[in-house]
Amino acid sequence: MRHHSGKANRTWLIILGILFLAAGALAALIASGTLARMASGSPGQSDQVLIGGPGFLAWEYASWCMLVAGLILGILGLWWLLAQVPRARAAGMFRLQGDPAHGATVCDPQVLAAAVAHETDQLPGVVGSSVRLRGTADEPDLAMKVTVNSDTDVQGVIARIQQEVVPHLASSLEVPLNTFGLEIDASSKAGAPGGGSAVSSRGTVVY
Amino acid sequence: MSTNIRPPVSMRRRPSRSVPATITALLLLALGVALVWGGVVRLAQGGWPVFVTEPVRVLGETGWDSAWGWTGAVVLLLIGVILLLCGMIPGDFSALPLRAKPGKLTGTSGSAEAGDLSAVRGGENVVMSRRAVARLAASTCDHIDGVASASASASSRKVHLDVTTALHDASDVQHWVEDGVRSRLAATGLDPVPEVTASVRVRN
Repeated sequence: MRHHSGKANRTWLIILGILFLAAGALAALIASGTLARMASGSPGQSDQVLIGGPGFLAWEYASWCMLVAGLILGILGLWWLLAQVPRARAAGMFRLQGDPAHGATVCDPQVLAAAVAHETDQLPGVVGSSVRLRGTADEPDLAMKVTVNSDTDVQGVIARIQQEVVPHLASSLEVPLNTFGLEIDASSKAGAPGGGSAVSSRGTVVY
Repeated sequence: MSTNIRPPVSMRRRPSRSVPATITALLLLALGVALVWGGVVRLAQGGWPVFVTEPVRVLGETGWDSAWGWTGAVVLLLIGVILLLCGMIPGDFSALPLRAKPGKLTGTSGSAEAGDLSAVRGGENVVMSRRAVARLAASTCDHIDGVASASASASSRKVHLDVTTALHDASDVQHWVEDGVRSRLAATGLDPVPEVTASVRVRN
């Protein structure tokens, strides 16, 4: 239910891949002597890889160049590393009344999410749930992850969520939800009573 | 109220390639720190540190057509291909789609026809994680007569079961398992129902 930086990762991996591939192809062309035959003035195959290295290090501004290049690479690396942390993108405070002249009613979406999770956890066969609300009070988005016992009637749980839990949230906000996403997970743990094959330890089983 | 409906919350993702991205980002960061360190040492002490002068010396003595030159070219090509493949191969979905009927808005005060309104204006997206599908399949096997133990793995299109049985005729168990799991997954609402295969091992 969290936002992952998949698109950015793939874009940067492709860009770097093309750069490395081009550098490798260029090195192979120089090493085989093909580039020298194709374009005069390009490095020959017997030339050194770094001809002007010591000269560059002796240059007055070399340390500043290295400092700036290091800063750019370091910032890029740090930004990319931080982008790997999944983002919750949770909603801000819901403003249920828009006209400040008549007062303002605000609601913490975490409270609504907790109420939705509590109602879901009571459904037969449900082991646990996590709920996230995004968007605004007028256009709320609901994302849920519900873990059910692996012997539970999954369609039954989904139907109860869609016909009871989601409409209750929509009713309390007085608007239909903008979008609704539900991920079902399964566990061998016993769910809420009434949903699966779990039998109370104090009950009597009659065959 | 705006009539623009944003796309449904994405519940089915492809791999985000965070492992190669994290490794590459760490290498970039390490390179950046090394360059800054080298520059600062040069400014503060007037001389370059060894980790700057040594690579420059080695590259200054290495020819393009030497063994090291060719090795470097091949390593660069390999890294490029690996990064490109990591970025381009889409990977398997993390979850399988489930069919579900849309919910109705009920009990809104002052709305006589509330029962006819949909509780969700935009898309509803119901999925089941691959791990959940595997657990469901393995759990179904536990209820099939003749199955001693079962484990399952699931991709977005296929579920495979490894079943152990104490029966001598494993072919019957294989049919029971495949049919039983297929019907359970269909009843669960997976749409489309993944292909179910089973390997049965007879326990001695």
